[in-house]
Amino acid sequence: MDRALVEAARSGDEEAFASIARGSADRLFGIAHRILRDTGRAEDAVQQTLVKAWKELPGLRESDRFDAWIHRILVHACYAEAKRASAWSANVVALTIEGPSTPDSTLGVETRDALERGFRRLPPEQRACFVLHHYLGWPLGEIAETLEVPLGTIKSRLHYATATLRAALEADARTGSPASRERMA
Amino acid sequence: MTDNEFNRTARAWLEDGPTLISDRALQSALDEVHRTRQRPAWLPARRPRMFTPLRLAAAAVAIMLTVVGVNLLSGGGVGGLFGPTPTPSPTPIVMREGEPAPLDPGTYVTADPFRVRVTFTVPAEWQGNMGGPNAVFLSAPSKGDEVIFSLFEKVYSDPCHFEQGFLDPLPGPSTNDLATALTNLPGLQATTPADVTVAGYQGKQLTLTAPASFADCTQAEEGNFRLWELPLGAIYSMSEGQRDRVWILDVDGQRLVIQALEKVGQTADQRAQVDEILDSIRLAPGNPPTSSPS
Repeated sequence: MDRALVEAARSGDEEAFASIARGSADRLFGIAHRILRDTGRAEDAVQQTLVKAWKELPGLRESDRFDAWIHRILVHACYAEAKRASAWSANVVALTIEGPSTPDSTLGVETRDALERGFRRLPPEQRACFVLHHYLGWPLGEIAETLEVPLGTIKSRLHYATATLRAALEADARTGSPASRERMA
Repeated sequence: MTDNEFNRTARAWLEDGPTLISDRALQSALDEVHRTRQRPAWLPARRPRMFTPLRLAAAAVAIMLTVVGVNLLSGGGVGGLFGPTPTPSPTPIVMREGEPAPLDPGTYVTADPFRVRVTFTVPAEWQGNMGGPNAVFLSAPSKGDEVIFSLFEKVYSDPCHFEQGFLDPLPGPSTNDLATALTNLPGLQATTPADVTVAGYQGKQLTLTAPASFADCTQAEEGNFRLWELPLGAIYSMSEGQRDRVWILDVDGQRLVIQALEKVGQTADQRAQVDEILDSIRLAPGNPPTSSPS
């Protein structure tokens, strides 16, 4: 991120912040969508991230740390969105799983569905770790530093996320049938 | 599947999907930025939202008003707490059981199987549904539940550790029984239950605040901080730092719980819309208990 823009935005230049926002919103949205698996909630998370970033920017001591800082805000916004969405589990069950806009032809429908179902069983902390590592390609140390979480915790989260998804793929290979929605409320 | 095969599969799956945020969403964020003042650098970045002197003073005033037994509503809605009571439309739209769907702006009344007749008015672009005999959900566009009406008996003994099961014995049937039980739950911050009268029905009002972190709680998809379960199995859980305004009312023997959820990032406009709905609420007995809940 352009340091001059960050400095200007930190000093209250709204146009500078708008430039930052336009330059980073797509990337933030892509990450949020992978974590939340829902366009509306991903947009909400990005909106909350940008508003919080603008509000708290004067307190950012090192402008060079802006990228890591805003990613941390985004991940926490995703946590909040994911947990708010699950406030009523019946509603979570009812949420539509949005399919990819352009399905990857290298993956079968069953594989994608299995990953989707497995991923939805993960706590948001594990989802975020998995996405930052596999989607952004961040090393675990960078994830730990960005999220300000011990490296061991990150390793543990990635381990459990991977185990859950592998189990989902294996289970799907055996059965492949999603659970039906029940009337719960 | 080898580790390399799994990693390739995971990456391919993650690379699917949208990568561009809509112009509308981005512009909405920038509009909100325009309305938001930056926090001065000399102020700490994280201040507990609940403990500013102003909030404490406001809470104290609210509690005093309710404790002295002032009937704030006298036939009006919950929102007599927040503003003038609006005039309901003469012919409410009947809300029946179904999946979440957009609601036309206007006044609605819950029908069977929901066990209390709740009349409320929603602004434009809200959606909602009656999930069954025990819950009605209202939500703003692209948001989670904002206002919830529900009836339940089963309260978890420790929200952070749902595997410990429900309170044993369960809370008694009165509004005070439930309010007291919620107040005593470990890890949940609760205000002292205050007497309140809503639309002619008496009960208790309190505010619940979840811990800022659930890191030490038992993790599960259905919620890490569970408060209660409805008779048909839906689980209510809070998110980190979530704050719920709660009214527990005895509507001719039916213990109705009304919640207004205050979530992270909620704007003043969104909160104003929630308060408008609360202001509009009317209550009446009427829908008899269904025979199906177990």
